[in-house]
Amino acid sequence: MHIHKTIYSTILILLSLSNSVFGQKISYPASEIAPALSLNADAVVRYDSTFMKVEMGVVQLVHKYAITILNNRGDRYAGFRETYSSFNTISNIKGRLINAEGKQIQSLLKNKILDNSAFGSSISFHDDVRVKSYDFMHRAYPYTVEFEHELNSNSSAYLPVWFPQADSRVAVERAVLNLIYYKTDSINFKLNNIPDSATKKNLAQGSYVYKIWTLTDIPAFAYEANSGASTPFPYIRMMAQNFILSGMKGSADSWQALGRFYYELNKDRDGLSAIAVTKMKEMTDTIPDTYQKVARLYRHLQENCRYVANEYGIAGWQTFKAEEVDKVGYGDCKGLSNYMKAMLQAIGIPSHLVLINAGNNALWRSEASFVNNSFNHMILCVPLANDTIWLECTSTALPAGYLGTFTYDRPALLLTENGGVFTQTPAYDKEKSFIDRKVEIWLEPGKESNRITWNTLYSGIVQDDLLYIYKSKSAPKRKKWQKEILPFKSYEIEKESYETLSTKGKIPQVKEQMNILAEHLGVESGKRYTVDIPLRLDLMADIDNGSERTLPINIDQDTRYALEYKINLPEGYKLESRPGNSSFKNDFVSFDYTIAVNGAVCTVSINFQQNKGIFPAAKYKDYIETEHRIKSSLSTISLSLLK
Amino acid sequence: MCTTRIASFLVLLSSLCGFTSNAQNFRVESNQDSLLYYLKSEADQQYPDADATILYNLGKTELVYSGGISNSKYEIAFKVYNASEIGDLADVIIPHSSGGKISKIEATTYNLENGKIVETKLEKSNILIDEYTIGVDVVKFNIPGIKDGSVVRYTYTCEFGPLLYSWDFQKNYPVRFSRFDFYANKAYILTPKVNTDIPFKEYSSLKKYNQSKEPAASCEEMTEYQYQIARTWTRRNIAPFNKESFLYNEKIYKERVKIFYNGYAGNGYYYPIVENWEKFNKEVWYDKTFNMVFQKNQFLDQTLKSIIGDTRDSIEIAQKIFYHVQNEIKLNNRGVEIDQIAKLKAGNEMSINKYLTALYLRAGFTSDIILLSNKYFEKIDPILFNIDDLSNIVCRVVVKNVSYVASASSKSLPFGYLPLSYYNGYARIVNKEGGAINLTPALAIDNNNYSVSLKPLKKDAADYEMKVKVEYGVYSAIGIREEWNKDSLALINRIKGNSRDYNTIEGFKVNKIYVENSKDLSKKFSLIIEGELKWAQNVGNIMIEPYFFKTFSENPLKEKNKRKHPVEFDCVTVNKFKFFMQLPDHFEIDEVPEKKTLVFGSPTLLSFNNTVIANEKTNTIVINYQYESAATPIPETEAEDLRNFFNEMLKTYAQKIVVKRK
Repeated sequence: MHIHKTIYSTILILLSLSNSVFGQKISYPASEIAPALSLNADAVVRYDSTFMKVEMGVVQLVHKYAITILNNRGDRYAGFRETYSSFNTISNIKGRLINAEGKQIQSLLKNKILDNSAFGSSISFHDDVRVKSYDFMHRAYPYTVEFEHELNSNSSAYLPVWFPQADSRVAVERAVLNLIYYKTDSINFKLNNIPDSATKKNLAQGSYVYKIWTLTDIPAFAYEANSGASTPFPYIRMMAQNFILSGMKGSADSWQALGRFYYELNKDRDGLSAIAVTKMKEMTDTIPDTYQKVARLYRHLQENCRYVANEYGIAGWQTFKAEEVDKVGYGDCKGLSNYMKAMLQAIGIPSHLVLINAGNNALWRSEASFVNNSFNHMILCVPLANDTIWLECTSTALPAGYLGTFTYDRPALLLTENGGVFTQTPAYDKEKSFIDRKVEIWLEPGKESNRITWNTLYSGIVQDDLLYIYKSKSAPKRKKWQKEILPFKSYEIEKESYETLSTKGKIPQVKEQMNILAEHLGVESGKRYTVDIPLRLDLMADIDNGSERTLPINIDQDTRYALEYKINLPEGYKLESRPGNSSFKNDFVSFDYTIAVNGAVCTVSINFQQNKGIFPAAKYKDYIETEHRIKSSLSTISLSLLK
Repeated sequence: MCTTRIASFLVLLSSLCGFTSNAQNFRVESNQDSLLYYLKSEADQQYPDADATILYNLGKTELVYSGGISNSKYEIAFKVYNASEIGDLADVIIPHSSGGKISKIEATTYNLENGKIVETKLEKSNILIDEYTIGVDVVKFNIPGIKDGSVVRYTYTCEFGPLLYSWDFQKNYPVRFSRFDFYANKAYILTPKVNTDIPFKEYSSLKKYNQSKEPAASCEEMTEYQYQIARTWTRRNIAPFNKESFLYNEKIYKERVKIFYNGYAGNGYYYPIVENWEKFNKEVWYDKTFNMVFQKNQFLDQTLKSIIGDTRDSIEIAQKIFYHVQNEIKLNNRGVEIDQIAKLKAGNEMSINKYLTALYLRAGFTSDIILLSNKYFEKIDPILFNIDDLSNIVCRVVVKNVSYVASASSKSLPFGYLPLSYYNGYARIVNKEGGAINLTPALAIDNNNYSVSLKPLKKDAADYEMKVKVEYGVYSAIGIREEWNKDSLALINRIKGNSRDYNTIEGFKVNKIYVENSKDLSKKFSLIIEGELKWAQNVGNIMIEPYFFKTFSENPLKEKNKRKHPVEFDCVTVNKFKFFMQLPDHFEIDEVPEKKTLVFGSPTLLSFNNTVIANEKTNTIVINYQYESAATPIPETEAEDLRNFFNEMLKTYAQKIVVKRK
């Protein structure tokens, strides 16, 4: 079916008129940019027009924009760069370069458009993503570039996000989204920070729905860290409720329906050869406990398979077959999760593939109210009678049942034969995630180095990196870790040991022990021996950007630290000065710093707990003061001893 | 059978420290005993921390046509100890020109399972091809079946591909055996340059060479095809490369061989690419490539008139011309001629510095183009004529009989300074006569001045004003100037937030941070921090760390074990620090840091001089230190002494001022 001709013609006329006056091209002189938009901006989008037509299985997008580059920091927005794959094509690329006065000085030369593989720009070892790019390489500021292109996609499973403000240092004069789709094909929308001034139009004619959003005068802003999913960027996310991917029809009218689609796409790919099935049974037959069976096969996966992301064509969405992964010993998150599922199936333990948005960026995490396809990762869930075992199949280090920071505490979509089930992965609070450290130091004036014993227990998410390093057996990585964790500038590790422990709740722990010789802790002068024991502890995120805060402060993890420094004072010296005690508590933290002297031993005890939560922007000043106060307290333990 | 197997195994055992004649004994695909031995090995005996050991690495190139077209064969076998850390070996990426062809790819992984050797082969369907960009394709494959303990072998052939003219014997893993064969028509003029820890024993017979057990052996012999010469090098038991501090470009320190192609010659003919630098200068560079620069170029007069104006002093004129080009012509990657660049206002490094040189010449200065290799390339050789290593173009101008080098394409350096990597020794001058110049790091000087002053706001007051001023040297200023110009607010917040970096006294509050000369490269970039300090009223003693700025906050020579490579300094560094403090009347000086003078090398290469004046009468303390280092490389044998020198400096920095209540 084709779009109604009248509407289509109307749209194209509107598009062309919106960017020209009586057929003449708009010139974009830099002097016409409002001062409020230039403030703190490296570039200003003068006009951004997106036309998107969504039909069953087909998406047509026409994008045209003009951006004025104000300085050399804005050059990164000046080039044209669009990716495409086997699911879509890019065509009709046009462009022009306009000087500060608004006069066109160059046109895009079609034979100079670069078309390169995107290999090397992501974690994929092989995929079918390519990049078309063009850069006028102009460097006399300000200048404006205008580009236009058409994208045609034979899959509507993923609709591009309308994100007119590319960066916090880019302002926007005017941005328009024109969307047209079948009336019967609903689209799920999620709008963020679309100002009240945005104009929204709804036209329904015949079988089609026509919507327009218009945004104007969006200023640049100072980036605010730790804002979680809150962001001042205006955007519209869309998901077609009826879509096609590689010839397969799917529905996103509910999480159940979306999950069903992915279940169907990936089902019947979990078969293993008879030899492999026999092997799995032999590995687990004598193990009575189900968790231990799962753990055994998980260990087999970790020891025999490695992560390689080959994601071309449908393989970006559909897993490779389990028997292929079994044969070659590598796969991506989908392949490894599916292989693990197949191994469990071979011994009669059911499990579910799980789609999830992994990583630290909370902006794109799934929400129950907005059914959409924003997943970038797959894990596995093994439901037991009284427990659930979560498996991160791309990890060579994590124990079975523990997910780690990559995928913990967030929504996920279980793929079952009854469709998708919207669920949540486990969180690891401060009872599970903590550091317990005991350090003992012997001060010996006259010696180059001081002896130190360092004992730390890392638990939960704070041990993730160390666990990986420990299990990788890589000496350089371990040394790098030690350099980061040890506060001493110059040291030698005489002896070290690492041991992994696991608690009842399957929370991994790592015990670290080191005997260290550290140089330059103390300096002798005529009268004194002054000692500075570095702590170098940054326990709170530094979110101070020098501006007012508008967004809530999101602390997404609570943790605790219990640190004890036992300092053996040298014989014949008298303690002249030492730090004072400090203790306070507020919404964000509780902090206790006490120092006790008992004979020739000075003990510093530090207890710190950070609370998880979303705190209003009005608390920003409190947070900054708390962070500075703690940072200052945890910089160094300074002692002065008289001879 | 049994005796033979035992004998083979004993040969293998005895060869832990030395190897039999050639890699054939170790070809894992054809020698089961060898394969089994490696499969059972649990760690590299010499380097137990190694994630893998290269068992053998073989490269063979045959130069087929002039212009660098060749056929090459590559083979490698390695033992895996730590599969999660060897991505660079396990995932193979072979770029090649689209006109060439990668073929005969074979890869096999061997594992020992329940005492049996299990093979997993790479399937053709898993060989991936990526059309990377115009003229360049990439062949990729992932080695299947790799895990801890595996032995892997893969090989491929490159037909009509680019010339494999250099070979790294040394890698980031231990290498047991490495061999490079280079076959070429005898007419080609080829000069191999070898960098290895031990000299090669030279053989004139391939037969004897192949039987050799030497740790380093080479041979050059005519092959059975009388038109062809075989050159071959073998190295055994090479340690993994260890990156050390103060080492610019590890590539030039790795054990390797590089072949320079200089033309071809035969019966009655001789066609060198570069006969000698002087001839190349005249016939190619001066007469052709850079010819326009040395023409009369009258079209530049108008531009020069507007730049020079009424200025008479020649050094000022030279600087004005330089800053005009630096500010007006933006750097991009397009090459344009000097008559176009002023209109386009942009060009690449070559275009910009050609334009600069042309302007100087037209203004009446003596000026030339300098061609150099930066430190990420091989050094230019006076004899080898390695033009492929020429990486950058800058300008030289003579003003009042003093030579200045300049690069107007470097937007963060003033007149007379080049990027540090450009000071890489021998470089070529392009003018009518030609010549050479030595761009030694000693020409690059970084001169930093730091001052801290602490004075009472009013007499007898507890409130003090504190002023910290840093005048950055040319190179130290680059990063911070750029950071200030990019986002001054972010930098101010960073400085305020990281008060630890400035070792500020407890109670110090920053009021103002500002800079001088953020845009004017001809002047020193200065950062000034002003604040106030309230002396604590109810304490007996106060300790102050006076060394706000330290040349090093930790010993830069981190390695305590024996160093292998010389210590290289980028430039001459001079750091001068001054601390002045006026005590409040109710406090007196109790202790101050000690004086110290340190000298390293004879003649002196590094010096550190710390002086302290504590004046009880005026109740003031003045501390000065000066650190100077020359840009002369220091031999690795002296690294431990140098480390001790730095340690003594750090001890000085750790000292404090103690003042006590009267």
